[in-house]
Amino acid sequence: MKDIIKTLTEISSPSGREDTIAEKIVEILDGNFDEYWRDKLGNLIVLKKGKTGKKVLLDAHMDEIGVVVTNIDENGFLRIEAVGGVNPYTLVGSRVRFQNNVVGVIGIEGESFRSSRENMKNLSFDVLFVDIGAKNKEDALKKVKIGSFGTYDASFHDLGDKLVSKAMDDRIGCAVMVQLLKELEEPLNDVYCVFAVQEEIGLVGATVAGYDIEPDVVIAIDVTAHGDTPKALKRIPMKLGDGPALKVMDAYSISDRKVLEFLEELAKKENIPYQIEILPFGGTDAAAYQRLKAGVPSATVSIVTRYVHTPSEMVDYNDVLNTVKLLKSFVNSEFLF
Amino acid sequence: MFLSELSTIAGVSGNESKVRDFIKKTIENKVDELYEDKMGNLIALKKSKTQSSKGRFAFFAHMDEVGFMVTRINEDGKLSIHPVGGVDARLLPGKRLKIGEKGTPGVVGLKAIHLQDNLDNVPSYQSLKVDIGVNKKSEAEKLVSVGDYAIFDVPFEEYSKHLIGKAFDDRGGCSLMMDLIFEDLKLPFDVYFAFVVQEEIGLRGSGVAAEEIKPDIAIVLETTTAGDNPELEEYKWATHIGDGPAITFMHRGYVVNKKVYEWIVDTAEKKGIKYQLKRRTAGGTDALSVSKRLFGIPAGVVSIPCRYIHSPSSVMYKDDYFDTLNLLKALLEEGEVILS
Amino acid sequence: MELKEFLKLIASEYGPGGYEENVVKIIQENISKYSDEVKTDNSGNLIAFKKGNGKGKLLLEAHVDEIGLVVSKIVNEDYVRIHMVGGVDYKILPGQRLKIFGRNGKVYRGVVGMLAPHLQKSSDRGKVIDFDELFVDVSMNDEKPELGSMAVLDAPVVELGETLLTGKALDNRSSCAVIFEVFKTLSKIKHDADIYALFSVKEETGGVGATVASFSIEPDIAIILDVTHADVNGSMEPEIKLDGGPALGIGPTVNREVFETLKKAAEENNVKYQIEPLPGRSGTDADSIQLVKKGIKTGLVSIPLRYMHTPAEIVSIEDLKEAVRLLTAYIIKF
Repeated sequence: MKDIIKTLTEISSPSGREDTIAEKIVEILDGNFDEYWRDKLGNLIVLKKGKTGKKVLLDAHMDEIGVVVTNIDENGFLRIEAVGGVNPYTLVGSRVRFQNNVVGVIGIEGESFRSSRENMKNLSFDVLFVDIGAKNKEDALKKVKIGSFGTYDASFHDLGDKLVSKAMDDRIGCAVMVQLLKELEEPLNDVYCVFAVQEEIGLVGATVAGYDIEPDVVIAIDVTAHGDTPKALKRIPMKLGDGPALKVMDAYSISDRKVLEFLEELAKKENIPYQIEILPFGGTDAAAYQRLKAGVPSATVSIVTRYVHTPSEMVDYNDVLNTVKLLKSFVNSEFLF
Repeated sequence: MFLSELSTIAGVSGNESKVRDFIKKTIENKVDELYEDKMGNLIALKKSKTQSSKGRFAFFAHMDEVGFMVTRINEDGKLSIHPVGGVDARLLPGKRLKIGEKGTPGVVGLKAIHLQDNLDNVPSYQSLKVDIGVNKKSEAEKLVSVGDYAIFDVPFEEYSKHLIGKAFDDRGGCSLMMDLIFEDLKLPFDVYFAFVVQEEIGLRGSGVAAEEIKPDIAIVLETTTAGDNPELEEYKWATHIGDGPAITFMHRGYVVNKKVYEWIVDTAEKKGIKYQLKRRTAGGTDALSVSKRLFGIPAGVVSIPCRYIHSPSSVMYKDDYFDTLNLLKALLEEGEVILS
Repeated sequence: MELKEFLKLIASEYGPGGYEENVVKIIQENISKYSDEVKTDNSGNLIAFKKGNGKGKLLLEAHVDEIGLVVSKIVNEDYVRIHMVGGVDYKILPGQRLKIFGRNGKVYRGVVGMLAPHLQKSSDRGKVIDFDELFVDVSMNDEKPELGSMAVLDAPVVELGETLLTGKALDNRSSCAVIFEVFKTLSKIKHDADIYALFSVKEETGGVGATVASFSIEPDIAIILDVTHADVNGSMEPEIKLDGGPALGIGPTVNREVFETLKKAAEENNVKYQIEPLPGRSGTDADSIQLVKKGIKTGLVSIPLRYMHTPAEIVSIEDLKEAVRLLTAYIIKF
């Protein structure tokens, strides 16, 4: 499964430009499904039929945060804006990769020592530029255009139990669903795996993905923050390696209590380690499914991740495996949602 | 072009009836269906002239404009107001307003410059009051009520190449749709025109209209901010007046559907129509709410560039308007490409 | 049960977003005998139905949830950290007693701790305490609350003079009580419209319940009941007074005809009312209900309330009674 994680996280597919990742997921699935399709906004939906007629929808978003080119100046330097929650400080000193594999380096404006200090102190995209090594505007235009999308340029590293890569948010969720689909023989319930688009800029894909499916219950699989590094946010408990995190709430949604308690009981019964998550910020696709039509009971199962939205997001491999295990058991459960 | 009429009508978010009535009256004989939904969106349909329609194509533009609401009538007869949508309070001092259904005139006073202790005090809605020429609450209550809407009282002006007025955002889009309706369209698909309400306070009307129309594709027509002035470096300009319609690839909360975006750009290229890309991603449009409705409706955004939007004196370049209109006609001609 | 008693009962019960079952249960038990059908939906919303002559569908909506807290981290045997569920002003927290509702069903005590002034650095005095630095003392409990337990401020409703009530969760149990009383009244009179009462969940955390329940009910008209800020001494804020009667919202999120009909109903029946201008979104469930499906015509009736989102909220029972009279008159007119 580490190979799947490496492949999926290294692909560059920011919000709105998810074709590459969608094609790769279908390729890796290698026919382990009954049906798949892409809806009007580009969500990839993979169905594995079950026996009860109950519909479980699992969701992980396949987009990642990134940047988009908004201007190219006479000397061939690019200006960019964020696609999703990219922190400008994270960009300094790192590289970006555009969709056609053009790599760029980030620079900061500064005409005097004072303005350099000021720019660094109040860093914003307005004072950043990208250098793709172009001679001038004409040369730059051969490589990128205004409206070209890019992502962090970073690779996967296996540190043993811990795995590091860009875009663990939320390719790790995608990897969990891919692995699950590969392992599932004939599930008890119908399993719809939604690989959603444009989550990072506002839950766009998930808002519409369930419309025609009308699921009975939804589990969003996404990353969450950690509390286990030096002087990490002291109000949250989540730790790498303590198992999948069952989300009580975040800034966008409160998990459906019945689903949450069902998951907790299930984990206990199956001896799968788990932890309880309360996140004071952020949100997942579950928030969108809760509002779908007459309302769908929805909850989030999270993979605790360090350094979210940087080029080096870190997860614990055992958490990933245990998440697959928990979800496998969930889609094979009888429930009354 | 209907901008001279549309610009001067009062139609702040939530109170668009006068704009709606004007549009209704003007287009009613030119469309196959025309109706108003529960929220006040006006929806017009031009039916396909061929036997079997190949889909539904929809244009969206919002009728509402930013403005004000009277929130309090004070003991001294002066009014407290709150903005409806985004109006910078610093625009207000010394401006003339029209208040309520009767259009009661009022002015926003400011202490004379001789009497100000500190010239750097920033005008705010807390400090600004509207003077309607009375000095008792009871007198004021005869002229206005709490909950009345207000707009800037300014005329529309036309010069050889430029237009000046309020509410170009988005009466410009409304006017484009009306022009398209007046065209003799012979199309293999149905075309809907949604004149929607409440865009300025959070993209509220368009989603409901989309639910009604259920289009296969939507193009949102906007009037968008230019920023091409000497106080802003060129790389921070969103659009430039005179460079033609602005095509959006991404804005707040939505990356324009790739197929739709590329189709718009390709069409402009193919037909040799001048265009520019919108080069900032801030701000949202109804494309966001439309795309998130129902099963997901791929939506694109085309805008007329315009200086000083949300102010009483927006400046638009006429050629940009007509270039935008030409692009829209071209998109309809190429509509089958995207609908198939 | 009388209006005042009922309000005291439901406001003193706990029910932060997603954890409203106890309150829902009390309302359900009491409203059943005045309804033709009562049920809860998939999301936890309570819907009571009172049949008319099938002439239109009217929805009366009030959110049932309150702001609250959740145990977000166990520090040790003695202390836990917390996070808010909805918009809690944490300035009011130090020194408060909490009721913590354990995930196993047990109720615990908590005290929000604060360093005594004697031990504070002089530079720290006068500073607002950072929410991240707040802690809750749970040492007094033999067993301890688990991670994810919900909590509310322990401030049961008490009377303040003849007509006023003070306590927590008067936002928005006041409106729940009004709807309950309207249903009681309806059992004695004839009405044409089919009436749905919706006690919705998760408003304080995004209006989820109202949106999905309105989708399934699909009413012709929805009257949203909520509370609004009373007696604010601002320069541009609306002037809404406690004891001035219910406030009728006017603005984009409210249908103009519904507003006019409500106003007329008030005037014809000598119901005290006030006008509340809403220049934008209202911050109530009206905002989302209006946009459900092909749009729903909304009206907004608000109970004036002081000190919103604190355990010292104040409402006047007279305003509630006027709201009941207003809604009853509106229903007869419908």
